[in-house]
Amino acid sequence: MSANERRDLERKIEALIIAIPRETDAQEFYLQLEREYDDPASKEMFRFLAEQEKGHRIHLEAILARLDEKLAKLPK
Amino acid sequence: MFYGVILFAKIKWEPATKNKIFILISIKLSGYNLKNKRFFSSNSNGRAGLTLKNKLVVHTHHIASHFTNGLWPVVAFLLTVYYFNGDASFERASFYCFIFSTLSAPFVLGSGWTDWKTRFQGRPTMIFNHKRFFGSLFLASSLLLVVWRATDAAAAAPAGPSGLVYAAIVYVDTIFVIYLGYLGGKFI
Repeated sequence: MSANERRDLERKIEALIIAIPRETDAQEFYLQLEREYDDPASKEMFRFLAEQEKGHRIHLEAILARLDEKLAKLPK
Repeated sequence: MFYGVILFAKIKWEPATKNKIFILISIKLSGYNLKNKRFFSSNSNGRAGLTLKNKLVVHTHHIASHFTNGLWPVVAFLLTVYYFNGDASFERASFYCFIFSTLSAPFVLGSGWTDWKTRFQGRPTMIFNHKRFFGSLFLASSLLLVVWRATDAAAAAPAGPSGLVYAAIVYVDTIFVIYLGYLGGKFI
């Protein structure tokens, strides 16, 4: 049971490890676009999108920390 | 922009000044931020974006891995053609292809390792473990093959057991390359 649980947790952690840099990349992509535009509406839109990506990343990192804690508690 | 280029071309700049301006324009176009030495400036939460080194590592990994993954199936294909029609030029072409494929493999492994240690926190998950294991196996066996074929021109000859071993390594390495490419695709 615990071996299956461990494997399941490790798969979830792996998904998050892959997803977190994607969110960072997306955030940076929007921030770069925000700098490229001069009109306030576009700037605001890209800033908003970048904030969304930042929020996703923070959320994923929080889930990762929780899963790490769970994994550490499992017997080896 | 267009008039700017014409103006830039018409003004009689000192060569050194012109070079400096050209370099600055190139840096600006690449998106590199001179102030904080990053491709992107720091985010509002203080977490910095990709550093120049990280950006170069990621690009090196993409370029080098496409070189290896693109060329290795060609190596296997040309060798197969040689086994079917016996024309030695196909075997030679296969050898030249795998020299270039093998040469780019250390760059794939090195940049992949650095990227894993930085962007992916160096976590030993299943995908990264497989990438490291099969990548190292591929590098070791393809290096062995290069040395073997370079020292023995008849290494791939179908007659005899050595030809069989040679072909087996090439085809097994093709499976490794396909699997490694499949794993790499999960990150895109």
